[in-house]
Amino acid sequence: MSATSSGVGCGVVLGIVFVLLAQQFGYLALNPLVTAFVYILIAAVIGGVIFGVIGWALGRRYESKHPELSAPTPPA
Amino acid sequence: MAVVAPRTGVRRGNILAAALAVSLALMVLSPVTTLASPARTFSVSVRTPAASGGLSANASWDGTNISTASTASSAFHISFGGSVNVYYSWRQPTGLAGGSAPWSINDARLQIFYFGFALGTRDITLSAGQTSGNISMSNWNTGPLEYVLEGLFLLTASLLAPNGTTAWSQSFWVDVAAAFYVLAALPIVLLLLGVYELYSIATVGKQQALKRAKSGGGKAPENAEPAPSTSPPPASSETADAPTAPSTPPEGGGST
Repeated sequence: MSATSSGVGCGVVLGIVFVLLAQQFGYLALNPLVTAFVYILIAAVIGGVIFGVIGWALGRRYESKHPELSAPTPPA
Repeated sequence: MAVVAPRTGVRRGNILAAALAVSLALMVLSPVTTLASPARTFSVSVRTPAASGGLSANASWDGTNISTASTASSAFHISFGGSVNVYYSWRQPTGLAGGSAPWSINDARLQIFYFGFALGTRDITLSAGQTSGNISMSNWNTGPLEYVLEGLFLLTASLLAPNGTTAWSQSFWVDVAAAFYVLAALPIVLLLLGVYELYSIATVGKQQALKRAKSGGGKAPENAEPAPSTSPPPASSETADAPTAPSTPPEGGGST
C-alpha cells in the first residue's frame, strides 16, 4: 500500500471521526438520517483527498531524505 | 556501501512529519470552532401537530414550552445525571368543525433520536382515553445513554390515541452533557481513533519504505522493526570455521 493510499484511508477515517465528534461536542446535528449521511460522506471525501495529498507529500519527503531506502538493491 | 541516516535524523524527520500532519489536520479540522455559531443557528423544520383531528396540545420541559427549542441553537440543556419533568396537556379546540370525532388520548410519549433512529422511548399511559387532560412525565433522563453519547439530539414529544395513532407530536432539541463534558464512551473512542490515525499519517513515509524493503525494493530503515528474513539460515560452514573448544581429557585419565 503506497503512502498516498494510506493517507486516503486515514483521511476518510478522520473525516468520519470529525463529523461524529462535532456532533458529540454539540456543534452539529445528525438526527435526520439523510443529512447525517451527507455530512459523513462529504467529510470522508474531503478528508480522503486532503490526507491523500498529505500522505503522498510525506512519502515523497521521506524518500528524498532517505534515498537509500527506496533505491533498488543492486544485483549480487 | 549505502550511507544510513543517523537515528537522530530519522527521529527528527518523524517529529517534523508528525508536526506537519497535526498542523494540517488542525487546519482542516478547525471548522469545528467556526461551526459553533452557524450550526447553532440553522433552522430545523418542526413537526407541528399532526392535527388531523385538530387537537390543541402542548408540552413543557421543566416549565418551558418545547416549541422554544425548535432549533439546534436554542436547544435545552440537560446535565450529566440530571433529569427533567415533561408536562403534556391537550384539549379539543373550540369551534371544531362538525363531523370530526374528538381525539381521545391515553399515551404521552417522548423519544430521543440519533441518526434518525429512536435510541430511547418512554411512555406514560392512562388507563382510558381522555379528550382533554394532562400527563406529567417526571424525572426523565437519558438513562445509560449518558455514559455512551453526548451532544445534540432531537427529541419528539407525542400524544397517542388508544389505537396507536399519533394525534399530536412536536420535535425539539436537547444538548446532553457527559461527565466532565468528554467522559462518554463514544467521544473517547473517537478521540483515540483520531490520534491513532494522525500518528499513522505522520509515519506514512517510513511505513511505505518498510513495506518496500519487505518486498525487496530497498533497504529497511535502521531504526525500524526488522522485516521477517527471507534469506536462508547461516551456512553450516560458518559454524565450522568457529574455533572449537579443546576437548578436555577425562579427569583422572592418567593411567599408570
